[in-house]
Amino acid sequence: MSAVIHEDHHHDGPPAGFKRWLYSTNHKDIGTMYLIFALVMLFIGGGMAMIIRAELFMPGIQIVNPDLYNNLLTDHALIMIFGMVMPAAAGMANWMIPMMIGAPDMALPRMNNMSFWLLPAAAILLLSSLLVQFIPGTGVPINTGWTLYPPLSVQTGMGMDLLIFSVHLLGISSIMASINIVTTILNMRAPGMPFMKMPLFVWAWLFTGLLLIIVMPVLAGGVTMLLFDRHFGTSFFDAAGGGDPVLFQHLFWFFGHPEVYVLLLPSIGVLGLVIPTFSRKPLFGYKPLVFFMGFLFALGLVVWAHHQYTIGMSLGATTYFMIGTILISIPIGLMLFNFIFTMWRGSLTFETPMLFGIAIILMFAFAGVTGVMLAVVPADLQYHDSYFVVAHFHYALIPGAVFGLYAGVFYWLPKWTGHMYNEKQGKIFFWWTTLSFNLTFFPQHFSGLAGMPRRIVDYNIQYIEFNQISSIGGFLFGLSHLLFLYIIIKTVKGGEKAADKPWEGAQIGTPGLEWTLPSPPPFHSFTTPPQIK
Amino acid sequence: MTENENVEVKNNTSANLWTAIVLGVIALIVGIMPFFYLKDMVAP
Ligand code: HEM
Ligand SMILES: [Cu+2]
Repeated sequence: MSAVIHEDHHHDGPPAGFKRWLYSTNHKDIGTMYLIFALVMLFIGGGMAMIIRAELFMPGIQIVNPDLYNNLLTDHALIMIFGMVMPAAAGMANWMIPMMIGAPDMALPRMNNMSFWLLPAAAILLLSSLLVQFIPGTGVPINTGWTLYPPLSVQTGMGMDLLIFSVHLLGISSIMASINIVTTILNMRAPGMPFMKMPLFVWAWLFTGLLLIIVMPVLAGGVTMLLFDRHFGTSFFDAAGGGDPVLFQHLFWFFGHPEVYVLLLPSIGVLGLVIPTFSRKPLFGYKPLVFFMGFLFALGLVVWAHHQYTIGMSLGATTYFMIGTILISIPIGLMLFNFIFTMWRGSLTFETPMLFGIAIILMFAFAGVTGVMLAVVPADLQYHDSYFVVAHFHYALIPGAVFGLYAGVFYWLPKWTGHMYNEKQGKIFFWWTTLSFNLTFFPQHFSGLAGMPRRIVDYNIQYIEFNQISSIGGFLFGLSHLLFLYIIIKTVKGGEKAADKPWEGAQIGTPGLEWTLPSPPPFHSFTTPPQIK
Repeated sequence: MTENENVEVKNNTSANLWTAIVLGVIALIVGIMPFFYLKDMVAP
């Protein structure tokens, strides 16, 4: 045993130059790369959103042609989901989980390297799928939306093939990352860290990882079947050959619905740390919260067809999916109550992560309400494919996933960099994003209820006011991220020195070990397992 | 390492590999399942 330990002593600093990053097997460096990748993708996906909102500022066709519009819409969604939220959450998992549970690194460090480096390759494929339309003879651009439904996706041009390969790489990357994270959590906990003492973030990622392992392969299989239909004469999704286009919808949403929990859960995990820290009180109902996440995990796998009420399922199936979906709002609501009770009578302070935490509770609850509206079949037949759905899922995803990640960034930035960020700038960023986010997406409830369809480049002039408010909000929201970038760069470069435990209330009620390490932590931490009392 | 001699260092390597293999096999199985519709769906 001791031989193994001695070996470690020869290389405890990072190797110099690009090798440090290209060959990295260090969880902190790989976490950093994931986070930087996510930030770059945030700006690319955000740039696409800016073009979309500029086009929608006025009815008619101003800036992009209809096919290009739909291609940008498709890529905006895919980049934000697979390129931004998932890598950012994986970056935080890489950085924090080994330190929280007292492990020296991830369980499978070389696979960790590969999980990351597949991502830039996937991003290049994804962007070339957008650009290939400018080469003559490559056919119709990808105009399907991120759901890639056939028969349209079988008829589109070469871009779709590149996109399918990109989805393959993204899938392999996130399956490998999930296997790694789950294995780390199962096998690498320090002595004295049983499951029921793990910080909530670790639990959240355990469920996220398991979900991804179960659903990502189905998406990969589904898009591969698309590829076969396109080029190899099969007709999985072609009624003329005995197939069924609805089969693809089932495969897609069997992945797609659990995917929204993949995006949500890591942020719920961050909330489970941020809210107790700034309330200076232990988490209210730790065990129930773990149970609710398990409930979400299980139920989330069996309600997918609420995205397809309009396909004409049997009455029995429709009723089942409706009841299942409404049931899901119960654990989600209870989770939010647990966070509210954690704050109840705590001694609250409102640093940036906490502001995001509170905003998440308020605005995410709103998405829960519109979600229940959408879950009701007769109502959804009206709402489906309207801007109401767009409003619902942006309220679910921006507070539910993205703001949770922002809370995490501000919460852990002092740990990662060793510097405090500027609190005043953080607060300005918070108010700026929160207000402009609501300005962007709140009006879309109304244009949706009034009948404005999603995924269409043009609209009737009756929706003009709502869309102009949305566009102005959208530009302000986009602009706020320059401040985000500025704060991050400034904090990385310098600033007030951060203590090992920069937040007074951190670690209350959770024995996570991340705060026992210096800020920033050494390149290798916990090479011998710490003892937790 | 004298100060740590009493610490039991656990070697996880084989447990990690086995866990990863089990999870990977689960992923492969769910990934292959959709293709079982192949049976009578290939164009004549
Ligand atoms: C209270 C729990 C929720 C319920 C009852 C619910 C219900 C629904 C329903 C019925 C739809 C389909 C609407 C339609 O297309 O006609 C939908 C769409 C959607 N939901 Fe939710 N939802 C809930 C929570 C969430 C959460 C937590 C997220 C993500 C963090 C989310 C993300 C989405 C997305 C992305 C879509 C649109 C997908 C698309 O068509 O592109 N929802 N939701
Ligand atoms: Cu869903």
